[in-house]
Amino acid sequence: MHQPLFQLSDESASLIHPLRPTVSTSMEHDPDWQLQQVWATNPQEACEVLFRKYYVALCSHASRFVYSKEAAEDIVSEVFYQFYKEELYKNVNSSYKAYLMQAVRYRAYDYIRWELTKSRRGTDLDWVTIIDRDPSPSEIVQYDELYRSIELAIDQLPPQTKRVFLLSRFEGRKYQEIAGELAISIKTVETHMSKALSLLRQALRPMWIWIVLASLVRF
Amino acid sequence: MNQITKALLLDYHAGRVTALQRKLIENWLQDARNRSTYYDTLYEWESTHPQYVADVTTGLDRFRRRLSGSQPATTALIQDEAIPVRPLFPKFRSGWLAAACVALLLFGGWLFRTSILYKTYTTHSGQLQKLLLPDGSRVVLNANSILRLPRFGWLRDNSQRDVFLTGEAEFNVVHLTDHRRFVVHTNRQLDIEVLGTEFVVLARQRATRVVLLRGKVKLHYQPDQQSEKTLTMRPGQKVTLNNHKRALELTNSSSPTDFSAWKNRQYVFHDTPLTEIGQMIQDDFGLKVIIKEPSLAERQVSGTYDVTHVDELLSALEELLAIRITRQRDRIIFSQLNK
Repeated sequence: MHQPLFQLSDESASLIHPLRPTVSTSMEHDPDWQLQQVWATNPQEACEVLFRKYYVALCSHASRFVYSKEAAEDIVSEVFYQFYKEELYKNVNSSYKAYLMQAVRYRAYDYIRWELTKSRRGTDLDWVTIIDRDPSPSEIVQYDELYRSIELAIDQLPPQTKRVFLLSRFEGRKYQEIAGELAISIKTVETHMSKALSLLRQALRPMWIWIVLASLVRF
Repeated sequence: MNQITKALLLDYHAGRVTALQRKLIENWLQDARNRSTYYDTLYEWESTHPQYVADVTTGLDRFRRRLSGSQPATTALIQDEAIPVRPLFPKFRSGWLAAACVALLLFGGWLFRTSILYKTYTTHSGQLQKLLLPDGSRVVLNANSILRLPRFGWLRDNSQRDVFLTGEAEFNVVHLTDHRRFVVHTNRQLDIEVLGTEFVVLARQRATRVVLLRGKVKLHYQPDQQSEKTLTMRPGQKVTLNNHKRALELTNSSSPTDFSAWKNRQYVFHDTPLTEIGQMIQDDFGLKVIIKEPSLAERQVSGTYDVTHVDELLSALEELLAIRITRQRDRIIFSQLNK
């Protein structure tokens, strides 16, 4: 049931030769540019073409931020929904792939920030900064840093806490199932979960400042 | 010079680069044209090293259901090549966020309701302010006083002109052709209804008092929820609210303008006890007045005094009453000389 995972999108680009910048930012260099006609006649069809092509990679990428299959799939689905419903595809002038990846990153970031900060602050005025726009280089890099920090933070959780966290979050299993599988009480599962979230919060706190600063500098 | 290779980018996505290489990539990204290359390799890496493999079929089914569940975009609109209107904040689609924003706005509105609904004029200690209201009426606001005016609909047809006073002010109300009411509300259960007239209102801790200079006013006194008393005043009359008896006391004043002497920065006393003078200084200049001996408190003062600076009044009183007045920062102490 695996999709063909590895596809060299650009045949000429060898792995070791310096990459030339694309000559222009116009759509012609996007492998998806043929979709142009489809957008005009059947936008849903065009959207589904992109969905089939990028869904797996986008979900995988989102899950690096949110560490939950369910949340990742929700995020990607929402990005596509908005892309179609608000006809955002008409505004894409670089590549659909780049647009979708970035949109997923925004949403995923949004999601974890809300999740990790909601219990501390009721409302967050910085929401407004998360809107569709081109990110700056430092922001792009900060997103990369962010999911790596999350990965590291999860990796450093105590083994049992990590196991419970991944089963609950990533696999979306119920506390009761986890308790049965690991032969511990539901209460202990809850303790592990709150411990994991508070450790993650602590580990990621410096990251918020960076991303927020990066987005402020842009305005 | 370009040192960014595809291999380097793939290593970067895998988190296997040095800080220096990371910086190089960041610089390379400055060129907007490189960004799609960046996302290309990110996609490639994500496809070859997936965190997990989502099921496209289920995902697509859900997506289709989502699309059909709501209103589908009309193809006619697309054929018309209508310019897409992009929402300013696409994020606001999320229901809970919109709800949070509305709640925040409502809460903010509630928190600042007074500043939103009313225009407020405030005076500090020793400060007088002359105001011209939108209807042409004039108000002189004494020190440490607040006057509020509704921002919306103050001069709307058929509405009465409401103002809210805490402190002391002289009103010179313009009569409008439609005989519209002008009402001064005090926070001391006393409202003053006016038709076109000049009067002085004092609504402070020390006393609540209305002195009518010209024209005609009607007082509405509501000591409790059930009862309301009204009283029509004629020029030269003075009404004081007696809080103990819960009643209005009407007296004739031979010189009603004395009660608005403060607007010329003067105090006019007629056998005024020192306690009351102390209260006035406290109210108008924000100074704490302490009278040491009870016998001193009952001494009375008459005459007109210039109070542009409070010190002038203090030295005049010191001389007149042969007492000692000492000032310690914001405290003024009245005491007998022989002590």
